[in-house]
Amino acid sequence: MRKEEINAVPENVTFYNKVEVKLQNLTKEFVDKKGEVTVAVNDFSVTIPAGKLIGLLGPSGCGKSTTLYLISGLYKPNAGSIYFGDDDVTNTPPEKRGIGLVFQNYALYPHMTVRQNIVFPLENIRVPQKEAQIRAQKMAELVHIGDLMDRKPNQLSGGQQQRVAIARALVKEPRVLLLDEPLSNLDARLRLQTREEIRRIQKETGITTIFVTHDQEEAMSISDEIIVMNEGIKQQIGHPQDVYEEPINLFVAKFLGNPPVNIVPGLLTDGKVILENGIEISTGIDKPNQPVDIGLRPEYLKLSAQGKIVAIVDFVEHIGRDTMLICHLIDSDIKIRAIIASDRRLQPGEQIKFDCAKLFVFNKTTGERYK
Amino acid sequence: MNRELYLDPKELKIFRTKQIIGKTLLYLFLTIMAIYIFIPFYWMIISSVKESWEIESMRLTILPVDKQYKLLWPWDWQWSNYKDLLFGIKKAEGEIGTEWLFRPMHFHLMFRNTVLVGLITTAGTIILTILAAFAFSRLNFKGRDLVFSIFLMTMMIPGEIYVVGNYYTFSSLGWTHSSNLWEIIGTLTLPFVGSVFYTFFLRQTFRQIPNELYLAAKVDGTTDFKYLWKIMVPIASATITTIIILSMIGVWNAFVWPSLVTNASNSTPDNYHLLVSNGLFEGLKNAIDSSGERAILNLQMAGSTMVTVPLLIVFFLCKKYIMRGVSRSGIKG
Amino acid sequence: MVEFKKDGWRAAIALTPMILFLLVFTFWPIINSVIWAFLDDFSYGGKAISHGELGGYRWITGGTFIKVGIANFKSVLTDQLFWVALRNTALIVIVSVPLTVIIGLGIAVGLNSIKKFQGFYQTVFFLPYVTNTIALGMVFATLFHQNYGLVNIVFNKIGFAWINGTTFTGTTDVTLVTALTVLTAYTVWNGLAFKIIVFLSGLQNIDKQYYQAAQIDSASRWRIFSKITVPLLSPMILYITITSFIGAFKAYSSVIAIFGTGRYGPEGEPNMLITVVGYIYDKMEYGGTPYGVAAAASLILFFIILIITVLQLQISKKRVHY
Repeated sequence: MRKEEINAVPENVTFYNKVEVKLQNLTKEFVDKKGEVTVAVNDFSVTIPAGKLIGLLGPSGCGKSTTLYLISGLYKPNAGSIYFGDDDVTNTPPEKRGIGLVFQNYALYPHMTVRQNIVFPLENIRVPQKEAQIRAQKMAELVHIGDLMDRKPNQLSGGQQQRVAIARALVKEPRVLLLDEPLSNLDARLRLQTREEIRRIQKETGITTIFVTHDQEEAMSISDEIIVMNEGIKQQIGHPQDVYEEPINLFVAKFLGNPPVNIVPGLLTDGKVILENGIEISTGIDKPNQPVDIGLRPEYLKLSAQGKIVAIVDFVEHIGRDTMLICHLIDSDIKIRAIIASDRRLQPGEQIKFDCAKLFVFNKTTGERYK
Repeated sequence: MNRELYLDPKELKIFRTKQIIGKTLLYLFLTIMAIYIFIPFYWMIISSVKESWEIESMRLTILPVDKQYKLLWPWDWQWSNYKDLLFGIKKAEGEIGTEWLFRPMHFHLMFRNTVLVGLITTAGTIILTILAAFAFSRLNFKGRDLVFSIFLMTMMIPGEIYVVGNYYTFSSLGWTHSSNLWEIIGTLTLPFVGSVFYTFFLRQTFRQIPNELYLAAKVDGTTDFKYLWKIMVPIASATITTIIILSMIGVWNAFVWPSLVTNASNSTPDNYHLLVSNGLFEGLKNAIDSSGERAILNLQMAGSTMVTVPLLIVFFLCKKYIMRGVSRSGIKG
Repeated sequence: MVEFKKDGWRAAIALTPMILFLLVFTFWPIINSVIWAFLDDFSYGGKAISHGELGGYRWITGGTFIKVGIANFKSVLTDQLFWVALRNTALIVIVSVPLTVIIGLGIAVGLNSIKKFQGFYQTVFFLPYVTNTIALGMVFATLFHQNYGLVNIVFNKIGFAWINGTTFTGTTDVTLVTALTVLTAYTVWNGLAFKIIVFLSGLQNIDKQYYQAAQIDSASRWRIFSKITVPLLSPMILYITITSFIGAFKAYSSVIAIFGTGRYGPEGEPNMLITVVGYIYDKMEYGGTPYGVAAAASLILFFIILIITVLQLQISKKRVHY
């Protein structure tokens, strides 16, 4: 392979068959040695639009990795089906589905060079050497490791290894790209860089990409849409900002947002919520009177002289850009956090008043949100 | 790897059939090899209770039989072989030649000697090894890596080279072929007390003990040596146990060096010299040739059994340590 | 290490015992061996060593010798017996090492693929490791006896008579080939245990994710084995191969054990299967100039082993991946 030949190939690669991924009633159970059954994924249905970067988000053990592996084909579902576009791939083995998978630990073959790692899948499907080398080089350029081709994995940094893994996954021009917790093995500084890399690669190739993470900030920052999962059940799917601003239930509201949303018990009475200490806020909710959980996002609490929510400051944390107040509601033990602009300097013990721009009202038992 | 998850029923059948055939062949292969491994043991033990005519007969007898080739009950088996082994067979009155048709083999002495030598060697080895491994793994001193590399190099030199030198050393001290118990013990144990292999092995284990433990102990005012004996050794006890077991097995199997330096022979009255291998060998060699060879084969098997069975018992008791230890020492290599 | 102070004196205390023993029983003998190999006609004052005498030998010089030279080496290299021993040893190495390594690898791979009874088989295959060489050598001799050996009877029944003649009595039915066959059977039997267990743990240490990744990369079973399993196992394979070669070159007690005569062959041919190590020991005990010749022979052996090992390491550079 002469160098000129390799460099003659254009850098953009956008000829991927984007497909929509449809999961219908997907269920996966695991039986352990004692015979106990764990339902990892429960009747999961979702349609993932083609050509988008989708984040599968949830706490540990919520079934997101299992779902990813189901999509890849390494696991077979107990019930339900998976479609890539119009193809029913539920019964197709992973190597025939047209997927690329990037493992959390990258799983790069340690004894092969970067070049050999990337070329490996092509060799397995009998692509002629010349063409395989060209495609491998193209892929390496795409992920910006073109000059590391002759190194071995243990000579690369974590971020570089991951890019090799991505190149290897993409070289066979799959229909769907899957990434399992791509950022969790990287240090904080690298995470920022790498997630933007993932975004860039996805935009350049246009391939339908699904990645799994437990970090809500990561998911929100680069995804076109996020899917929130808990205990094997889909909670909500939508544009990150939409999901953030209009959570469908208590879990989603709590999971997204840092610092997390304040949850305060209250009583829904005639369209108004009454807090423990007597504060009343009117909502437009038309539901029978019942005890409810109220969600107040820290940034929705605005300092106001006429604010209904009265609280006493306990701690003040200056985090540079904002100031976080940890307070407790007057006449009550309930703690809340609020984020305000840094121009107010407050002292512990001061009494302040908040107005709440927006609040969430959740059914106390089901967690469902009332509008 | 669950390829079969995705096959349609027709393909699945073919796949399953291939799979069953494959698995069967595999088990067949493994079983044949296992039989190959197992047969010598079986043959040894079962022949030890046969009469010699039976061993020599052209017919294959899997279990002891009588002269009519009818199976015998276990209590009719030739347990007297063991008695003969231990007490010897005297020639009949009036026969010329030496008194014994077969000299008694003093297994109790052989065992005693071997265990004694083993314990002493192992005790010495353990102490030296722990100290040396400690030095290489945890202490910082000039030339540490250099000295360690030299150690490593000696591992590659076959033992036969220093046999000549060691033989010379001991014979100039007059300890070889001696009848003094302590001299013999010295000759048999001292050359093997220093072991580079075990040092290397233990050092690997010591290195895996986190540095933080050491620092925490330091803060609590522990001296280095106290740390070694009170903390590192207990943590590494699995490896140390393995070393002890391997060292003892090594002595049990020792043959070459003892035969060079002792008067291993069945006829000396004070049998301090015999280790298990040598005793077995001296007692039974030429067994096929000596006149009256008829009586010997079964005794040979009985002798082998006497020597092997204790070791097997120890093995089954410490199976985990031995196998795990050997495999780990192999990986580090 | 966080602290920078020198542990020099502590290390000295800890290491001294071991170094002392090694010096006396390893380094010193090696140096001596090398020196004696080059002393012509080195004899120990011509008299037998008796109990209690230090014989006047003081470390490096002493005893009598004619001059420094290579007479010992000459004596070894012109000795017909030595070449017989070398030939025998070479045969043992060439035949038994590849056989044991390949069978061992095959069994390990097989064991790795079964779940049921894996522990049972593993234990059975490991048994030979804890046996006594002499004891089992005698058993093998019995098994292969021309007339009543189990092997011969079984094979005769099937129609093969190929082990006929492996008798260790005074008959001349024993040939080099038959004796070598029995020795190989014994050596392989003994050697499998260690190799299997090392290969097996090597195999089990390969991360399952590599296999998953390979599956997604559409690799066939064979490609997975040849391109992933074997390369990842290659350090073990190298280690086993090197140690097996070294061990096979040192064959001695297995030969003694099988023949049971105290020599390396049946009554009529006591040196039939003599090995290099056997030659060295013979020279030590029975030779006229014990130490010189034996030392020379052992140096030659060391050299051969060294060359073979270096060769193996060279060859392996390209193929072994860490």
